Parts: sequence; structure tokens; C-alpha cells
Amino acid sequence: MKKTGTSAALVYPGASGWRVRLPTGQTTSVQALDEAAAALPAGAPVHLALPCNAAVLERMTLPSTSRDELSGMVTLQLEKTLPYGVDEVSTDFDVIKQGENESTLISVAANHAQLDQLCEPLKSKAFVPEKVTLYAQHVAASCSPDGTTLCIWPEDGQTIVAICEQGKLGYAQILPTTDPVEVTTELSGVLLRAEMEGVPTDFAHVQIEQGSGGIRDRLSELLGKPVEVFSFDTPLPEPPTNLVPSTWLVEMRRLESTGRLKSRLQLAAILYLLLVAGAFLYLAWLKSRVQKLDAKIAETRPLVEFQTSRQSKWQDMAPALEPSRYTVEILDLLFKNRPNSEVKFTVFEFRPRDFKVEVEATNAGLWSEFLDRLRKEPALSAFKIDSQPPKILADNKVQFSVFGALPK
Amino acid sequence: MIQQMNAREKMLATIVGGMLVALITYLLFSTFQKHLTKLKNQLSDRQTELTAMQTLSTEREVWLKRDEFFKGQQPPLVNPGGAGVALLEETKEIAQKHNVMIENPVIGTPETRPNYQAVSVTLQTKGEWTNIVDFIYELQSPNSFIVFESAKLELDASDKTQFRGNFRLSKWFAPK
Repeated sequence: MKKTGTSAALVYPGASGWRVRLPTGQTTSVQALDEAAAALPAGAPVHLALPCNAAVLERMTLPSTSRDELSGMVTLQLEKTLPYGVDEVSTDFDVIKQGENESTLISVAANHAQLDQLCEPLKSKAFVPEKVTLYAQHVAASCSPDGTTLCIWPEDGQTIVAICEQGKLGYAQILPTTDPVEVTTELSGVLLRAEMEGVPTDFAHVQIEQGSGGIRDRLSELLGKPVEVFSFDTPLPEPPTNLVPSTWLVEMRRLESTGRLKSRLQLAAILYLLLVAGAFLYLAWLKSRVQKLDAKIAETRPLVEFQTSRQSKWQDMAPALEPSRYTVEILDLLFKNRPNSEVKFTVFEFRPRDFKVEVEATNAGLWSEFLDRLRKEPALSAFKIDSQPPKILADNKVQFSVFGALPK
Repeated sequence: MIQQMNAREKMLATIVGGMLVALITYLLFSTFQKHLTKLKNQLSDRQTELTAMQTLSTEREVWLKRDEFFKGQQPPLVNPGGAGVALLEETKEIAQKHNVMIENPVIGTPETRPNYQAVSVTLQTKGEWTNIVDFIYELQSPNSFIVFESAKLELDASDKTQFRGNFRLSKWFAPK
């Protein structure tokens, strides 16, 4: 028995409509595949089990036991029997039994156009099935590997009669009714046709889906065997066949690539937004620091205002308070910085913010020396010292004025 | 919608999308840069202002003492009418002490300023250089609150041993 698929969601035919088994094991019934698509979790891998009416089954006995050779033979055989070209169908086969030089197998073929049409609701929601099987093969895989089993179950208003050999689908027939009387009546004909095709009809087991429970007693009476019941809700094993068209695989890879790109773009967008948010949070933090400083400044300002007013008053009163601004002090500094006694003051003018002294000297060199000394005098550093070039007097003496002013 | 586009349309959509993202990024970045510069400048200005304020507040004791000094030392103007006369008398007394002759004294009108009330006297002097310097020195002694609002000293043209002075003296009394 093959392992049951649990990591992918399985969409398979129900008694009416479709059934969806989620990876969690939860099973729901829906009427159409677009509802099934809505029930699927985003991004979940999907397996699709086809109803019997969506595939063509053919039982063949071929003279080989090599799978590769059998594959070529099946293709040749299908080319003869199928109403479409082999490149328009997905095919696979399952070997039922092998002799020394021959193999009996059942081939399954599904038309691409029909598959595309059937799966459009799934594909439109970006659910491209990664595996397509026949539901009858799932049922067959659940049957006992010993002997032949007759399985009957309803599928979308029809009844499927399948003969499973050693846990593999050997034959399947669709009855267009679910009425127990009609199914029982037609069953004899179905078994006769099967027998004519070489399918064994000596059943070791008989099992029906609980939806076909109405035929249980009739079937038991007809075949003289006990009838077991199985349920669509029970997970069934995965068959080995896969009918996924190659174009779907390309589309799936494209979707995966798009999905990866989308997730990378989403990650990039998240990082971008985080960066933007971080940048603006940084601005908000800076703003809050400015506001905190504003609050601190507002708190300190009254203390400082008192001092500023006193400072302003002190500066205003400086001519009366600071000896360095006294008239006599300025005069003394000017006097002390004369280069020699040949430098004589003729006029001295003073106001609290500036002074002027007119000087007579014996040569022009004394002018520049005097000016230089005044500019270097630390006690006069607050004053801007200036002077025009000296005038030469008739007796070769020079006359010049020196100005000192406080900056405004 | 993207799945329905052909390769050319996808390329075009990618280019337009990229340009849109670039434009938005540019706008966001320029807004961020503008605000960042503004806030950093504000932060720096405020920090400097606060540091200056804090430095100033460490000198609070000095300014409190200076305020006390003003309150204790600056003379109040008790008699605005007689203050000019008193200042002139004080000046004459010092001039006489230093052999300086006072001429043409004029008492000015009291002036009210924000930090003081000024009472002024305008006068001319004549005397030897050293005497006039001693006169100025004694007149503007510390805590006298006397200021020379203007002073001009020049050699007397008729007598080279004498200096003539034109002064506008002012005494700064406490404000009202």
C-alpha cells in the first residue's frame, strides 16, 4: 500500500460535486472546483484526483516486462485507439501483473484541453495541481493486495464499478445512475463485459462507499459475499501514476518563481518601510530632544534674564564703575606709551566711548612707534586704535592724531 | 492582472514601477534630509544657548553681589533741584585744592535713563597740566559715580605752560 499524501491538499470527486481534504486532514464537500479553490489554504500544494469520466482507461496485455519498452508500446497502442493525438494527452500506466515475457497493465489518459478546462477554477487562483491521478486508482490502492476486489462508489450522480487486482485498478465502468435497483440490475452486464476482457471476476472482497449503502444487501445477495463499507472521508493511498501535463509543470515553475519574486519583493518592501519608519522615528527622536532642550531653556531663562539685565546695567554703567574707562586712566595709558618725551600732546578729547589725542613729534618714526605701542597695550585692547598719516610741519616736526573707539 | 500582461507590458510596468519607487524614495529622502538638517541645526543652537545659559547661571553669585553693590553704593537722587549745585560745589572744591581755575560753569537739567538719573555740569578750566590731571583724577574717584561725558584738554595758545579744559561732568544717581 502506498503512503497517503498528507503534505498536499487533495481535491477529489465526491458523490455530488467535489471533496477537498486539507493537509490538516479536515475534509469538506463543495459543489464546484471554484469553491474548492476558495477552501484551499494559500500556497498549499494541490493534488487532483480525477473522476472516471475525465480519463480514458484501457487494459492491455503487452509482450514485455521492461517499463521503458512498455511505455513505448502503450504510446503506440494509444495512438491507434485514442480520438486525440498523443501529444494532446497525458498518459501513464500501472502494471497489474507480469508473466515471464508479458505484462498486463491499465493505461490512463487525460486530454489536456479537458484538463485545462476542468482545472481552470483552480489555476485562476494560482493552484496548479502538482499531481493529477485517477480517484479510482486511490480506491484501488486501498484495496487488499490479495485477490480481486469489487469496489462500487458514487461519483457526481453516477456510480463507478471498479475491479481491483492485488490493490491495482484492473477495470472500471461508469453506470449513469445511483439508483440501487438499477445499479444491481446493470452490474451483471458490467461483470460479464469485464470477464470477456480477461478481468477476473472471482472476488475475494466486495466494498462499497457508504454513499452507495442502498445496494449493500442486494449486492451481498447477488455475489454471496459480505460487503465492506469505506468512506470518502478516510484518507486513501496515493497511486503511482501522474497525469500532470508538462505545460502545467512549466506553469507551476513559473508560479513558483513568481511566488519567490513576490515574497522577495514583499521582504524588500517590508525592509524599505522599516527603513522609512526608522528614519522618521529618528526624526521624531531628534524633535523630542529639541523639545526637551526647549523646556530646559524655558526653565533656565528666568534665572538668566535677571543676570542679563544686571549685565546690561553693568555695561551701561561701566564709564562710572570701571577704572579702565576713566578719563584719567586713558590719559595715563596714552602718556605711558609715548616712545619718548619728544612726543607731546597738544589736544586731548574724551567721551565715554571714544577718545582722540593730537600729538606733535620730532619725526614720523615716533608716530608709527606710538601707534604700535598703543595697539599692543592690553588695557586699551577694547578700543580700536586708528590714525591718519602725520603732517610734516615747517620746522620738520610731525603732527598727527590718534583715535580710539569702542566697538558699537 | 500581471499574469495577463505580455513580456513587453511587464517590462514597461517594471520600468514605471521602478521609476515610481525611485521618485517616492527621492521625495522621502529629500524630506528626511531637510528635516534632519533643520532639527540638527535646532539641536545645536539650543544646546549652545543652554550651555551659555548654564555658564551664565554659574556667575549668578557675581551678579547678585554687583546688584547689591548698586543698591548699596549708587547714591539716590534725593533733591533733583539741588544735585547740580552740589556737584558744582564739589567740583569747585577739588579744583581749588589743585589750583585749577573754573570758568563759565553751567548746571544742566537732570536726565532720566533706564539705569540711572544723570545730573550734569558744563565748565571750563585753566591750569598747569599736572594740576588738571590731579583734578580729573580726584574728581572721578571710585564709587563717586561721576563720569566725564565729554572732556577736551588743549594747550593754551597764549601761555604754553597752561592747559585749557572743556568738561561736561555728570553724576549718575540711582534710577527711580
